[in-house]
Amino acid sequence: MQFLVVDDQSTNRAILKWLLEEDGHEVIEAVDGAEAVAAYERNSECDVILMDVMMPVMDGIEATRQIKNRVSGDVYIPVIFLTALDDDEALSKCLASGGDDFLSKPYNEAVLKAKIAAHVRIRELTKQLAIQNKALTLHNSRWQREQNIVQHIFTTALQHNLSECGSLKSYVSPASTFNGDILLSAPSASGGLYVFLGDFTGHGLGASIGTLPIAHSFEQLTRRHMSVGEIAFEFNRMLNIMLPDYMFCAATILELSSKGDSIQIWIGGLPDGYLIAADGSLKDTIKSQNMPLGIERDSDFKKGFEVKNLAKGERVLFFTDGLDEAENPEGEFFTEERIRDCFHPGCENSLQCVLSRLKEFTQDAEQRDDISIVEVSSGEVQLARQDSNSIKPPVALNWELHTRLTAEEIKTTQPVEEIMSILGAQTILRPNKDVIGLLLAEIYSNALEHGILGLSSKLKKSEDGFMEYYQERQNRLDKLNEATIDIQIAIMDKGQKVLNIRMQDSGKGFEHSDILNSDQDDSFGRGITLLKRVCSRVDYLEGGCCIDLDFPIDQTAHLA
Amino acid sequence: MDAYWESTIVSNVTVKQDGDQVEITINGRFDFNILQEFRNAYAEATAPGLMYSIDLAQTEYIDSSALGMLLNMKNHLGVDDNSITIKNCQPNLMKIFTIAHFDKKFNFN
Repeated sequence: MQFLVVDDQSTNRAILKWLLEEDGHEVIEAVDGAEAVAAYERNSECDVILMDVMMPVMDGIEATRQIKNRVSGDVYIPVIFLTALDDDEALSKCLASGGDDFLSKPYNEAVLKAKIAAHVRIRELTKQLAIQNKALTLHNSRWQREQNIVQHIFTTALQHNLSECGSLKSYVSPASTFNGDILLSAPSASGGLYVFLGDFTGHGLGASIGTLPIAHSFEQLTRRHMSVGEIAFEFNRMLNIMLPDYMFCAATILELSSKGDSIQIWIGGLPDGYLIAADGSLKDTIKSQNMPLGIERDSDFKKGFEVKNLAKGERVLFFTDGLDEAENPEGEFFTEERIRDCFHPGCENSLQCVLSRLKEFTQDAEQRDDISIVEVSSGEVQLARQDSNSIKPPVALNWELHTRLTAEEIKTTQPVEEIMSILGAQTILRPNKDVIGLLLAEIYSNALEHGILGLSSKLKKSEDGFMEYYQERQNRLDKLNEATIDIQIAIMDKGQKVLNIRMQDSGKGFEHSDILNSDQDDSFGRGITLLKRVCSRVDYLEGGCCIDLDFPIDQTAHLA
Repeated sequence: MDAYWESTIVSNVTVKQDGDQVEITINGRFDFNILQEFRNAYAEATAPGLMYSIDLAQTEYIDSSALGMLLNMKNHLGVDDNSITIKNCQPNLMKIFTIAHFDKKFNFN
């Protein structure tokens, strides 16, 4: 320890010096106040100052004031007055100048050492505190900076929402800076509207993190015009990989048709959604049929969803559990029952009704979880210009795909599934991929069963024949040695964009006219009738060994 | 990517009778691979006056052999148009039933 001893009497200084050095301390001496101030300026690291009061040039009180003024920040430098004065006024002057303690002369050695020890302890504590404070300040500013960055990322990521859409009303209220709820909306390729509402386990930053990849891929998936069930499947897969086991996302995914007269809805783990009649009363409850996203394995995941028709003036309201579990000052929950009570005839704005009831109920109780409420109304979807521009279908390239299947491949592979995994990924084919899949499966089984295996579909006339037909199919397939099926698929411009499929088999051909004229109620020949209904052209060539057809790509309206 | 076509789906048929209601549920792909199973499902329950429903909620795919199988079922049971109901049909499958004009041959709900 370093001590500054200030006294005009050299004897006094000598005694203190001897006392302190005996304990292993270092001592600097000053003969008056002015010298003490100068000594402190040279040695601001000194630990304790022992100060006489009455000295020439500058007294101890003034010196203390000046030294304490020079002390920076949180540093504590104890000044202990050693004085012959003992009147209250003098002593209080000592303290007022910034002195920390005093001891009357003549002093007791043990008392002096005890006082010094006590003040040194305080100095050590304040030193540690200063170090910790500095670290904390640094940490805090770093955290602030990081929070700003993260907040910026979230704001940008969630800007993908529709700017304005009359079909969609919402209320979003996070419990803290970062929201574990996420609301997204996007136009659909057919002019409708997609809405996603998700609630991640917990709230705050941890819960928020999962919203980022969701926001990003929502845009991609809706652009590809996937069904709500398929979007759910993709999100589930993604969150399964990304999130720790204890985290998941309860969600509702909805697609409103362009005319606004029906919705497709998938609910996993969020509270019931409500279908509200035009007069404001409750018409139907839409229950969650699925586990939240991020739990189910791919193979167990159900892509099914509900379809509800919406009459004029009807609307659907759904929300996160922050709403039904909102607490009032007594700690009671808002409950689904109170929410349902909001839907009564004459209530035109269901969302507003729920909100004012909620406010009345919670009063100024602290909000514990994120709350989001969404209302989707019937009626034609009107998008702001910049949003409808964003869904213009991309100009599709014309391309071709060709494969020649050998007997071995015919026996062991799933060519239709493989080709469909390519075709299904094409944005322009996606809306009709189920029909295209059916088409391809039909002509492939014709080529295989009639062309190559030489089966007659007349066998399928009776129910037993139907069985026999498929048993025979397997028998002949097992024995198949040499055969090829050529599949050629192309996107072409023929006045309109068409998907051209040409399939040629190495078989003997078959009497396709029989099939084309088959009766509607026969259990066979249905496949070709289907082809005729959806294709603009179906030609059988080379005695039935080759089929060539055009499927107009843009026939959403016709098929719907 | 499009998991619908990529996934290898294990199909199965379950049948459940409750009074005069027979419910057949089809999981996965509805095509000729479940021909025998499907036939067994309705062949076991043929008392007169039974009402049949086919639940397609978990069905991911149908092809024309499925349409044939449905017609076979109707012919086999010799029931009228209202005795067989197809329920929980997803929109993508409904499109195929509509193209085949099956929406006029069976009850859908």
